[in-house]
Amino acid sequence: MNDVYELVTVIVSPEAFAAALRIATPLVLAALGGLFAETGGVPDIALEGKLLAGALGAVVGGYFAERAGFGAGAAFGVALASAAACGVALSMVLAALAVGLRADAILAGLAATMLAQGATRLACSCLFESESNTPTIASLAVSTPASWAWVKDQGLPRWVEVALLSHGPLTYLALALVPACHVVLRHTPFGLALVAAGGNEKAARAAGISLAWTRTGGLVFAGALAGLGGAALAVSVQQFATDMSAGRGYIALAALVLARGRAWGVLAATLAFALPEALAGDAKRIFAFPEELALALPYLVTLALLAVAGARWRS
Amino acid sequence: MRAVLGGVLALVCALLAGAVLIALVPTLASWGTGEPVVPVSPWAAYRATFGGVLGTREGVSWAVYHAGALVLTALAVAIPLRAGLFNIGGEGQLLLGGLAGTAAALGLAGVVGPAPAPLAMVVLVGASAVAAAAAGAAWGALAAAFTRPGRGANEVIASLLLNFVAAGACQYVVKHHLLDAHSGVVQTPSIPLAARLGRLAAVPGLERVFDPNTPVTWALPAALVAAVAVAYAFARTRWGYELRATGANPDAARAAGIGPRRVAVSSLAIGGACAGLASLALVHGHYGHYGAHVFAGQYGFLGLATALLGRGHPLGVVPAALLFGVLFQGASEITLETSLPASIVLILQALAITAVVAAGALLAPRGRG
Repeated sequence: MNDVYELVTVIVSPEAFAAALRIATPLVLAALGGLFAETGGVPDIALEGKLLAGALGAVVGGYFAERAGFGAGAAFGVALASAAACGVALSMVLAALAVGLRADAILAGLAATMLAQGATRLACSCLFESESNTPTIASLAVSTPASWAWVKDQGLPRWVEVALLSHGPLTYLALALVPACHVVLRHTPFGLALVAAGGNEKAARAAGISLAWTRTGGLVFAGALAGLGGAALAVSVQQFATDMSAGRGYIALAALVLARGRAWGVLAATLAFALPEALAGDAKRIFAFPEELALALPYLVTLALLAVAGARWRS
Repeated sequence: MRAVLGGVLALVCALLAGAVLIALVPTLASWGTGEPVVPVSPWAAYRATFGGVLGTREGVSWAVYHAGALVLTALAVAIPLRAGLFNIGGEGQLLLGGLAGTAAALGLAGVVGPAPAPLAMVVLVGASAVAAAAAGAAWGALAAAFTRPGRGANEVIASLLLNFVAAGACQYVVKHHLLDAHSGVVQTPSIPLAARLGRLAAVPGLERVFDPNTPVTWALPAALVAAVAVAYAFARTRWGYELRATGANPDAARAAGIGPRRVAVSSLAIGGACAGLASLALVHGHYGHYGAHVFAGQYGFLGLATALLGRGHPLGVVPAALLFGVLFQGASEITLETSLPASIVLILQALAITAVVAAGALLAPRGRG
């Protein structure tokens, strides 16, 4: 009984909420990217590859910007731009195959993911002489609002500082992008063209919408957002490691299934996936849960939610 | 014929693109290290990869050893693919199959101990094969539970996520229930010798083809038989017809009374059984025990690549598996002979698949789109 009590205090703690937000950040960014691609009618199976490409892109961008003598802030900006560019580059491979040549989108996505897995590993070993990981890039470490002097002076409650102000810029960017993506998709000509291209090809074409360009545009957004998601992965450990995405691109896809095409749904679904992972460490400690199974927990939770949602829609 | 020609052309394009990339690698490396560029000739790299493997009996033997396992993990993808389903959970099905097969061999070792040797071999290998196939099939069928006919590719997500669950579960079982305490590594005790697969080099005459010191076992002909059997089943059985009909037009198949759920479960389960059986080539054919290092080659994921290269045809995966077997083995040759990193092989594989997907789309019959 004490165990359960302890777990409840952990669940409602600001630390757990903060950890969930941190874990959800790359998932939110990748899933929002996937939302653009899927809305346009091209399911983006390559999110996993884009996370990897973005993570390596951030590290390479930060590394070369540091070497060129950029300041920490500027180097961080270069890292983000480079991450987004790497994501977009992979998206263009997908666009060439799935939109240009009209290949099966899933086949094209799997091929693009394999290209990203090979290319990131190759680039990592060429540039940093290690197949497994890069050195730590100092400019990827950024301060959080909670550490700023004037925020400390405000005397805010501890839970505000821990839960809301302890994050890096990418978490706030991801949160801001949720309403932004909703507006772009539902209230701009480009977003509505995407919706039409994904919903009814004939009607879209009759309205004078170019399917190919619209879908390619959707994939550009997908690449940039998922690339930033990769940057969030790299920023969290300040380095790139081979296959560091560890299936998160597919978890983001599962979030998209649950979100059913809505940006707000993406945020809710990714937080639902992230909270158990945030608690896994504490659960392991409190219940003496075996470590191997704790590592599988995020995937199990995702599968369980996917199954529950699927069963509900079938009935 | 068009498809085969297109595939060969695609491979040539991929090798040319790979050559350009190989030529660029030294420049990339010099950016990182700041040292002067040491050029690498793509021709020398390809000669090291293909010549180094195909030029010796040992190299050929290792390549076909990899290919044997890859044929089975590729069938795990090719069978559901015929019904329009993507199984990227081959790795998890392979891991679970391997654990079940190892557990069966270890568990029955004491039971059949005093039996005459040939009988013990049949019982141990047979029981291991049944256990491995059943575990792989169960995991494949689990992925099928997530399919939503006509509504997106949920099985892609589910089958991939199940890989991580299987990896965690297998590691847990090995560490806490089947650990060989003497080895110092997280692995099971060795399975009895009677459970090991016989080597083809022991067959008179074949020792000139296969190196006796390499693990080319009866798993290889078994994998080829499986590929032919699947091709036959696709073409000539009711089950194969139901798969093809569902893959070609799910709505028409459903209207004709073919249950989409039954097709999904049966194709993913039989695919999973193939992936599970592939573990026998590794555990019973080579290592003799189960541990994470046995599966470090990621044959499950490579099987996906192999199946895509073989365009999902059960006989197409055989040449694709041979090519990837050579590349797999060539990765070590290439690092010995040139200054290139082993990961160049991953890029070559990915380029080959990209080219084949592109060629497939270019050659596909076009409707009004």
